[in-house]
Amino acid sequence: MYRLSTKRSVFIGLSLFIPVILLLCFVIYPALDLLRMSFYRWDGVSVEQTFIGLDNYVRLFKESPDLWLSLRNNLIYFVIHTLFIPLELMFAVMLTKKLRGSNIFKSLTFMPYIVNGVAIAYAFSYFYSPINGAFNNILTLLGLENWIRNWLSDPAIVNLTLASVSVWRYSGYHVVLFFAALQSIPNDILEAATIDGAGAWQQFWRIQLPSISLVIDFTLFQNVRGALQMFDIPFVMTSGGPGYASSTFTLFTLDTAFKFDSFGMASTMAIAIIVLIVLVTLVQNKVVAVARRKGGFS
Amino acid sequence: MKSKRKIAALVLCTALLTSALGGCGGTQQSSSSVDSTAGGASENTAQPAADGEKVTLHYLIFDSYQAKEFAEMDMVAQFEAAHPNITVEIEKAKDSAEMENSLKIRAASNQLPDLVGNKVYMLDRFKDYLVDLSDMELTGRCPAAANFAVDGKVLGIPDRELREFVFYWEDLFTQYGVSVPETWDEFIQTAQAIKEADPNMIPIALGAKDEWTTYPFMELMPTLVANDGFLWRSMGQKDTPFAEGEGINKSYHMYEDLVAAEVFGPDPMGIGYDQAMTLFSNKQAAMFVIAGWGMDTMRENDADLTTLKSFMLPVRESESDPFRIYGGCDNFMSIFNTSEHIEEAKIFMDWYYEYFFPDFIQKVDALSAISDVEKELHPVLQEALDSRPDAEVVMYDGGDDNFNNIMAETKFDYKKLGVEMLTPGFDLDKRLEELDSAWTKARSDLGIS
Repeated sequence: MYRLSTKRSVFIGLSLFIPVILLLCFVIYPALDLLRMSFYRWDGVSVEQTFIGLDNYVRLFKESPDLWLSLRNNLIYFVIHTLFIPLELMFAVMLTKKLRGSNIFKSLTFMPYIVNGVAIAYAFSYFYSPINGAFNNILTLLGLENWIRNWLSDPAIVNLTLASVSVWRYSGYHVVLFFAALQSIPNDILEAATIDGAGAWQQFWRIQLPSISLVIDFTLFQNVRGALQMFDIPFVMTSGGPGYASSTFTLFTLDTAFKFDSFGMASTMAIAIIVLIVLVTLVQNKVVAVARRKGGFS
Repeated sequence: MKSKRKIAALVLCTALLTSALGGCGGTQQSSSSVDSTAGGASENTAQPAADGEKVTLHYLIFDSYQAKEFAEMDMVAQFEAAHPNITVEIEKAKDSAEMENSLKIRAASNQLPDLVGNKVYMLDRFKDYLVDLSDMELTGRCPAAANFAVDGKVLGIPDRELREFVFYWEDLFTQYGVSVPETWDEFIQTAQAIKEADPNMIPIALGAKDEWTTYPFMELMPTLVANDGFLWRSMGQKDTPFAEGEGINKSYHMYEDLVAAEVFGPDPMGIGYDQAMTLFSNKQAAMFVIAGWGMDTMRENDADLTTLKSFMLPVRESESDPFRIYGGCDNFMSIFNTSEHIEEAKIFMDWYYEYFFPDFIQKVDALSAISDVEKELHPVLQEALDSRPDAEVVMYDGGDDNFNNIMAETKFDYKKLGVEMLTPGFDLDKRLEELDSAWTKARSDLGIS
């Protein structure tokens, strides 16, 4: 027994050795160095880095109006994705029914998620192009020419356009997550509920929803993280333009580092986004917990 | 067992934190092994390769056309035939902006290439990493190189001199009854006349989704209006460089008038350079403001250049004012002082400009920066220059450390500003006032007098 337990420990240790080393080298150490750099002024090129204490953090809050404007754009992604979560849940519930074509629909829904994000953004930039763009051509074909807008250059709607691409990309992933979680609920519980006279809505609200609460929590966290870290779609499609109209927090952080040669401030922004994600997640968890208590299930 | 685990975890965390935070306080050196006083190979530890030793040079460029010609003209093979012990690997960056970002990252990790094709503003930015080429014989053959010396050191040898042109289709101008403008107001009126004659024609293609396409108006025009090629350096010396009466203020208001005329098409911010150039190549746009290399893109688009013409951008108020045009150098070949083969890099540089460049420059739509290499421009471009024998060339400088630091501090991005000015309701005066306030504060914070 002792030899077996030792062998098991050795096996686990050896198996974890490389992943832990990689984690330390490529995640933990860079994160700590990021924190260190946030206390310095450095242009990314000079040999010297100058220690400035909390100066970057003070300037982050006092002197960066464009940064907080970018955060407003992140909020648009967050709100739109949140609004779509109930729809995604509904689709997942429908897929659990034995409907014709549900397998094909599942594959089609998930496919956008496995396609490279940059490729999707690039394709959609031509889809929404004002010159021979497919979307405008579709609207024209349907007799809806008066609906045509400057999808990628009108500051009033550019973020909605980009958010629509993000929803197209990530909805399928959420649907498949919810579907997998719903599939894990034992059938006999639902059958028993049916026998007891529970309708479809009651089964969903009282059995399915509480059973997949962990997956819902995970999806909500992914929603927060994804919205606050949104980068590839606005970067490829609009470069954050026109002006800063579609710039996101991460895009602005990158501009701060590479365009304005301020790696210290950019590190500070990166720390701020981590803190923001944690704070928003904590608030969200509190809100969801209260909603669950009021809904009568935990 | 549990306490052993806790101790092990504590030791690991302490080790990590100690190594990460150990540099806090005071000044740090970044990881690059730069000799910041490097002025030449004699101060660098790199030694020439021993005879027979194979050396590989890495040459980073951003110019797509140059990369194409290197391949088609077999530049590397030609050089290696002359110098069998030196191999050259060409690395192509997507564009100059991406190359600059890449160089910053590589500088921090001490992985800079041996040679690079720089933009003019990169000479100052990377001055701590570039070899002084002042003593090279090649420098004497390039009169423009000294103009761009940084702290008295020639850090790069340009291969071309650029001019900016307004390309137009002669048949369209004839069709719409307009002629080549002589002043800025006439330029706006010409564009408006085209728009009135044919609402489906884009008078001036811009491609502002790629912000850099606004550079003729936002970066170069202010130097012409102010008659100061070193405008960016001058601005670094002023507290309120955007105030009324200043060259850049006047220039941006001129651009504002052009924007107000709505002559960039229905959605200039919705299309990038490639799409805008495609529209121009297909004669769906009447004019395009770009340097001579724009013709490369037109050829790639298989444009019929039979009726293509060009003129110099008229930024003057009246015909009695001097006609100023932009003059700039580009593609500065530089050597990084972190290279282990500086002597070999210099050998390549000498060979390149002696044997390869004279043929290569004939294929580029720009003037030669090397004085003893004759170069005639494409007739479309030469005609425009010849029509302005009285033009005053304002040689453009990319700015110095002070300007770059203030620009970073204030987040002044002239190309992005050019795009913002295209958005409805943009208040230029308010923005210029804000820039002045930020500029004053930045100069004070940075201790620039």
